[in-house]
Amino acid sequence: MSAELDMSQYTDLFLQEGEEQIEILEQELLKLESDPSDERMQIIFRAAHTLKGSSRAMGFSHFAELTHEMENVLDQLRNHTIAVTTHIANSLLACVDTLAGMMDSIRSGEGDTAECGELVKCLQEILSGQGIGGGLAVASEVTSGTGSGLPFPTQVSEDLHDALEAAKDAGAVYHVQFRLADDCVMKFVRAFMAVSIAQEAGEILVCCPDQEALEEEQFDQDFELVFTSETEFGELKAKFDGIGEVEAYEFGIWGDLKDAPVMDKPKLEVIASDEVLSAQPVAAALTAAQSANSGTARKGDSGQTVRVDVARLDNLMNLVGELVIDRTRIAQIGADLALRYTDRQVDDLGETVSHIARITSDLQDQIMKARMLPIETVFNRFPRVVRDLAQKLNKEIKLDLIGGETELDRSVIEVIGDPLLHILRNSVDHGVEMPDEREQVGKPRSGTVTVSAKHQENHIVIEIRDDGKGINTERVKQKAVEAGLVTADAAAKLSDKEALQFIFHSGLSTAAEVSEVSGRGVGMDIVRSNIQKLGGLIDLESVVGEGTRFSLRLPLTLAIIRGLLVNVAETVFVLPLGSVVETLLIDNKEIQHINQKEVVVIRGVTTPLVRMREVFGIQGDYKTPDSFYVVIVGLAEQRMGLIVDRLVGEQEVVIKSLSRFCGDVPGVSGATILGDGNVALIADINGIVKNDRG
Amino acid sequence: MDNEIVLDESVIAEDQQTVVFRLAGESYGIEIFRVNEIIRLREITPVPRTEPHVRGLVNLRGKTIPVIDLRSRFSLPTAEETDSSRIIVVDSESGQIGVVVDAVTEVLTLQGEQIDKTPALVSDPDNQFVRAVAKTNDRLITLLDLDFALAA
Repeated sequence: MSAELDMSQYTDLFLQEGEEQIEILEQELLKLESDPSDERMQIIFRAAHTLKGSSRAMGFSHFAELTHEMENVLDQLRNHTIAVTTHIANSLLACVDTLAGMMDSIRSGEGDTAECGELVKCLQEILSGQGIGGGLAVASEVTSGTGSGLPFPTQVSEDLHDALEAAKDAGAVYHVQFRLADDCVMKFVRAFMAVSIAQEAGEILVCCPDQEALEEEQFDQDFELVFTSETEFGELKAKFDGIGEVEAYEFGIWGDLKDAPVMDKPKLEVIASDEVLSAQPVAAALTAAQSANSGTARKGDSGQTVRVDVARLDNLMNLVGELVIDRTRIAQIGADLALRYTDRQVDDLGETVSHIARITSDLQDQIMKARMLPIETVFNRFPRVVRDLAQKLNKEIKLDLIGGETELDRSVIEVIGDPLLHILRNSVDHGVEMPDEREQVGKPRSGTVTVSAKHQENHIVIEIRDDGKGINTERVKQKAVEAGLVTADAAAKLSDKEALQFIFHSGLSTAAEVSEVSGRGVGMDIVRSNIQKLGGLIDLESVVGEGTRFSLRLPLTLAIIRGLLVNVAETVFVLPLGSVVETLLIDNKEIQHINQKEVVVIRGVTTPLVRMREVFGIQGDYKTPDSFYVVIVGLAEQRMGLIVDRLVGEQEVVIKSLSRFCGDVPGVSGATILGDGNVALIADINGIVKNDRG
Repeated sequence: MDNEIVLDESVIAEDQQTVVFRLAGESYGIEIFRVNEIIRLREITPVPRTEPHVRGLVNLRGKTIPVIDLRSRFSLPTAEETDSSRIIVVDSESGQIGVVVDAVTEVLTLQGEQIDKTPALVSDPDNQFVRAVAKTNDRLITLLDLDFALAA
């Protein structure tokens, strides 16, 4: 049982690391086309290599096979034997997708089942020089690196060579190359034996791959060592002979060996030229290069971080939520006591309560921060999507991502990816014109789509802007009339801004033809309802010929909101403050009727009114007062007045879900516990507005 | 692991501990293992537009749990809440649920022979909440099929 547990622990680790590596692969591959620097190649290669090593260790053979082939291609790219072409980039990206798919099936316990024969074949064709198609491009021989031959001696940098030569002067420098047997079960044990022998005999100068990689079995079959030793050649040879499961090995004085055709097909696995040199004494000269490289590896490595299970953070958040409730409650009790008694102890209580209040808000802040993720995690998916889409549509598109470091709560991050992606696809598909079309109107051939994120008070504002053709409001109106959403007369009176709102209506698409990408008219309505479910707002502006801009305003967290407490028939409801525009006291006489619906004119704007009592079907004797409290709520451009009995106050509330037992209650999005310990319902403004429209 | 306890619905286990409560003058029972705790009646926040027997939500140590009114569920006349009114918190498929009863009287250990799964009574469509009837010295206790009673 414990063995099984251990394995699953490793699987989790593998999945976690694997996902990071896959993300690195995708990110860097995307940048590779425009910037095929050696440094970038190195990062990509390393990611593929790590994936291969760890999948092999876990026994995911398909996964390992695919990464192995990728590695081969990457190796050739790195050595400039072949150059990066779109075909190669596409193939590699397809591999990344397959790997991600395998990760999913591994997570669901099915193992690495995905079919990757096609891809492997494709990669092998690239390697053999076919399949690159017309774009076959062999890199010029500017770089000295060759894809064949013994990598080790040829890849020794001059510094290292000098250092080794120097060591040679001081004493015997031996060089041993091993090729382990195909079926070698515990490679690292064999490698370890060899390393120990060398270590006992003297000092290891070069270990390739480095010792860490050897320990983690991150090598195929081959490894080699260069070491100094006073020990006799014969004695050492006898020791090396004793290592089992070795297919072949060569042992000799360093320098003599490099010219000898050691093995039938010598193909050492070199991790990275700087890693070859991780041996301590000689490598000193190269630490600079190494540190430069590791700096580019990953941001997350810097600083001290701890991985924490998300469930634990959620739990912590819940506990803090309860603490917040109790804090409010104690504060209320304290205030009540202070009214009743004048006593030093009551004063002390008051002080302590306010201190607790401060600490709890700090605690809450900190835990909120711990749950924050940069929106980058969502943005990172975009370049790939835009690239693929642009390629498919034959468009030229430049994607600008701004403010990726903006942080927001995990719960929000999880749900905004898809809506954003949908808007982005729309911009690429419908917004940006074909390159020729753009040239004709005097725009640069390549369109620009900008996605930006920034904080604004307690919200995050995300904008998706394109410099495309904009939305033709006349066309939207026409479509809306055709779809029967509005009469022709009414449509003619609509302002552009109002007309644009039809974009969010289901069954309306302005794309002349339904494409694979979009234009089915489902989508924008779902996007809007998803955003609204989060308590966010979505808005768009568009200028024909200049472009379209979507802006989303989202709360930073879904766990705690500021709410306006109102009283309706002795029950307290919480209205999310994000949706509240203003509160008014309105005289009975000000209410007018349009189509038997109550409206009120506020500063010249006709605002529909909704009685909360009616929304929630609350009966009971209720004499119509002379004046009403009206809470004006806003959803995007729409305004609506909610008639409530009384305003109670403003408070931070922790959102609790309604029990499954109650199911979906229209107009109610959740519940919370107030300072007095009672439960209050959180009103779902979106649901109420929808309900009113019937 | 091998000797897993198999619960056979058709056979009422020999000795059962049952929480007995009163509702409109009659005694009802729920298996004790379904009962989480028994709390005093407290402020219940009504949830609009739900079934009439759903009384609303209560705060149970920071959690909000729904409360149903068994009187209304069983179409019994509504009654004033008294000092002895209680909420029995039980486990259900959709989490914890509170059940309002007139009073909780005792916890009884019922022997197998006391329990009568009267077919005539159980098959009556009006009495689908009834799992069985237990006879004690002085009265009858209706044993509830809790899942059925809580089904929305």
